[in-house]
Amino acid sequence: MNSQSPTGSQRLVVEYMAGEGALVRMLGVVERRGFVIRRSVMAELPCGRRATLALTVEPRDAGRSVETLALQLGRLHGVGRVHQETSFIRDQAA
Amino acid sequence: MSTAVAPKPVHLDAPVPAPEPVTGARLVVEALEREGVRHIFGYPGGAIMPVYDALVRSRLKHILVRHEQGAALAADAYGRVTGEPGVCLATSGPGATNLVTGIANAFLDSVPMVAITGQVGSHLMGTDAFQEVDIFGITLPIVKHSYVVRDPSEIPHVFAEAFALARSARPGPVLIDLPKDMTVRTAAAPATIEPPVFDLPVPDGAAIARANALIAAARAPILYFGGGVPIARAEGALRGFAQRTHIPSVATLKGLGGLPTDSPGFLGMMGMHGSRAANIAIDECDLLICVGARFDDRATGKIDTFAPRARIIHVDGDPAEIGKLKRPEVGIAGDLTAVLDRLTAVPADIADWRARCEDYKAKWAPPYDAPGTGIYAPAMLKQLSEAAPDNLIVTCDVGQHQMWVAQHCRFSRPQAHLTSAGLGTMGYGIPAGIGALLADPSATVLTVSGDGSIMMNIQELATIRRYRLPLKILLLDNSQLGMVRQWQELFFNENFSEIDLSDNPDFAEVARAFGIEAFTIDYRSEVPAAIERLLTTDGPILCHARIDPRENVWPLVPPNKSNIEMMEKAP
Repeated sequence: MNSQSPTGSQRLVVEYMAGEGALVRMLGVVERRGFVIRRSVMAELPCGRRATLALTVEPRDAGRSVETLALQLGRLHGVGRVHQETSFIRDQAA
Repeated sequence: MSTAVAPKPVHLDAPVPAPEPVTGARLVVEALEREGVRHIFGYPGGAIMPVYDALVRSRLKHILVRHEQGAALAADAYGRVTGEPGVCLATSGPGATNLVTGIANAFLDSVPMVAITGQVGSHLMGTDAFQEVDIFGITLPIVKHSYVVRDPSEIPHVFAEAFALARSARPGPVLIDLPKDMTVRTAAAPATIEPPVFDLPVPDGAAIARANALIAAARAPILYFGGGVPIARAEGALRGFAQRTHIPSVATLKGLGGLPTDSPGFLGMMGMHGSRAANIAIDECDLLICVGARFDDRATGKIDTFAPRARIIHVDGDPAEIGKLKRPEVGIAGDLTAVLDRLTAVPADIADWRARCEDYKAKWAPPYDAPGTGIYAPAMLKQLSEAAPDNLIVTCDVGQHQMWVAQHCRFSRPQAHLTSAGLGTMGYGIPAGIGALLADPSATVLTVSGDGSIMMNIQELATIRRYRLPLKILLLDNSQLGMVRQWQELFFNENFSEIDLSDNPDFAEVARAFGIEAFTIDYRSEVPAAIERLLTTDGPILCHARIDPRENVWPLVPPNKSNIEMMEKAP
């Protein structure tokens, strides 16, 4: 599994429950864990409660692993799946 | 002829009468009672007054602290000892912000906690109202989850979920912010509440098999365990694993107490102020079995050179910790007890390795025969913990005394050592002692503090007095910020900056002013009687021990160095 682009940026897609603070909580985890957010697109699914957040992120240094970041996002309450590009990272009940 | 009274017809499908609406504050109290909460640590104020109003008629015992930080830190210790979320309560604004250090403390050490804050009324939120802060936003990075209640009818569900989250998987603090109108308005309590369940991952059987193969083949294994063990209440499984395999073991600061200090093969604490035996054994081991630890920088030193010869098995309740800092050969996420019980392999022949570790332990055992007649803190702590009963719980503040406790105290029971490990919160000790005593009144609870730390929450002596808590306090006073002074001496060319506390108050007089028995000692010859007095006095008591301000904590791994480069004395 290697989704690293030539520029070092990587793409994550997060499926989550659209509760109060959910978006800020996720963006905060990404930045605090040592990644720069290059692009973000949030979309609410038709049901209105679920949403997806697509992120293009870049590690601040070589010691940062996007796989670990995906697991850290995945343990947030309300986060369902975290995909790394087309690769499946984590699946847990939302 | 008797006349029978006809029974009333039973309508099975008759509608259940709707529950009577009650205030949100009442729903809060009922939710806490439903969770089995017995104690709440808090301090009232404007926005939380409706909840305090409802508390009067509840079964909950409120502990009135003298600063909200004390409430959060007491709740932290309560959570560690009971395994159930400690609860703290504060008003909006400064009340809420005063909780922040305690919430962060619980987050860094994965302690179950529910923090409840009052908030200004919904219509005032976002208007910079009196005592309004965005505590939800302030605490986002330091909570496991958080809520702002937007409708009083949500309260039962929010509280049930908050408690389940706080105690489940990797525990942590959960914040519930209550706008004042949410506690004043009424709503009906639901007839039933289904508490949500958050399971740990199921351990991977194939990974367990690979781990067993590594253990069977190891010639020089080390068991490295941390705070995840007490969090998961896995001490029994850990003790079983250690006894079954005879693998020598080391602990992180938070892991201390996981195995009794006098367990065969236990080499003590590892890391920056760890024992030389522990650090050298890790350096030489061929298999490192990490259980409930996270390769923290204070434990590993320079991580590139940590356990350089070892294959690694990493067992943790949190999948996100596995591979975060050190890539293991085998990673197993799941309940620690379940995993340890399935690690049934035994190394074929480690007798020579065990003997070598025992030699290291004996050769590098700390000396207790310091010259002079002054009080030598490591020796006093060792004697005190050895004289104390096995139900001893030690709570610490932060600094040199914290490391001396970790290095020299004897721990027997699980949850015997409550220390602020991740955040390093000066001021933890006394509130933690309060929380520990209320969580387990049968325990002998000793708080070891320093003259810097004790001043951070000294107001909680009033709480000890108010509830007549038999807390034993040993204050090691070197009239300095000792750990900072030590680092300035060793790493800043003795350029001492702002570490002098020689204008401290007379701590024994201060304690007596709070109504607490206290005495001062200066000489080693006074130590045995002081220990006797501390341990036999029924009520709260403070022993103020004045120690040598030049004393340092040894060994010490300098910053950015490998653990084997530890210093034993000043260069």
